[in-house]
Amino acid sequence: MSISNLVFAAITMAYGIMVIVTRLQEMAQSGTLLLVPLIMVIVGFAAAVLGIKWILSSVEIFSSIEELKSAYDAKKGQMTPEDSTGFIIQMINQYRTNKATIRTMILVCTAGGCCFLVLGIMSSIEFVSAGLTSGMNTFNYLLIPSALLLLGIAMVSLLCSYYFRRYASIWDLRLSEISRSENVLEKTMEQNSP
Amino acid sequence: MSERRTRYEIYWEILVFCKTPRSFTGIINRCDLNSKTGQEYLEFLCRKGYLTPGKDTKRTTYAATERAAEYIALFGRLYQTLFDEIPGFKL
Repeated sequence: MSISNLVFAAITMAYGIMVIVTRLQEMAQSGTLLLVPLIMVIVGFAAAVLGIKWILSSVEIFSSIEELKSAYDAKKGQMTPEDSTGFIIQMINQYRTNKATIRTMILVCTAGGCCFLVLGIMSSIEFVSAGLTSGMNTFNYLLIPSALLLLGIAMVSLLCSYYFRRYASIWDLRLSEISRSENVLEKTMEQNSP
Repeated sequence: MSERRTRYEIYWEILVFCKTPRSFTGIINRCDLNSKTGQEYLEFLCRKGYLTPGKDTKRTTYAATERAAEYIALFGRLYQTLFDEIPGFKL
């Protein structure tokens, strides 16, 4: 999901920069400051900034997961119960810290997947309609790879967001269980008071 | 470790680290605490009998007691249960 978020963020950023460049060119050629291109430049700038910000967030989550995973792999096979509890605490903290970002990532992944699905469907329709309008026999087969690629990306993104939604709900359940565990720990500490 | 730990998780970290006697500075560095909160946690754990202050050559050290071992075991059991009993999947 981090990777697909990186892809969507990069596309958003690239699209924003493209809009800025083309609209600025347009204004430079006309020699006047036009309202609509100016608004488009502002929107493009906002999209580019959002894209960069989202790339950084995705990279941060991705690298923190990688860091934890390599620490876990390094200890694998020689882990004491305390090491394993320590890893559980670290994973829980990571989820607590990134919970809001993960939720947004799921939404971005779903939205991006839907966009790619629409593009894939449109590309498929274009392939069929181009064939039909030119007399059934001359389909533009060059459209097939792009349609398949778009549909593939859409499927992967939607599957990722589905599994991550499940993943998030399991972690939420664990967090609520932790609250119950805290009650047990609190009672134990009270009972054991000297 | 991040700042989103619960106090029970911090107690656990302190107690596990203090299985061998540790200095105040060592504890706050290892458990990523500031002096003020570190002092509060240590005072609480000493008051509850989970830590016992001692002296090495120059400074005060803190060591986990037998009661701390019970807390560590209970905490470990509760947290392991989160992964053993709640259905999940590995990424």
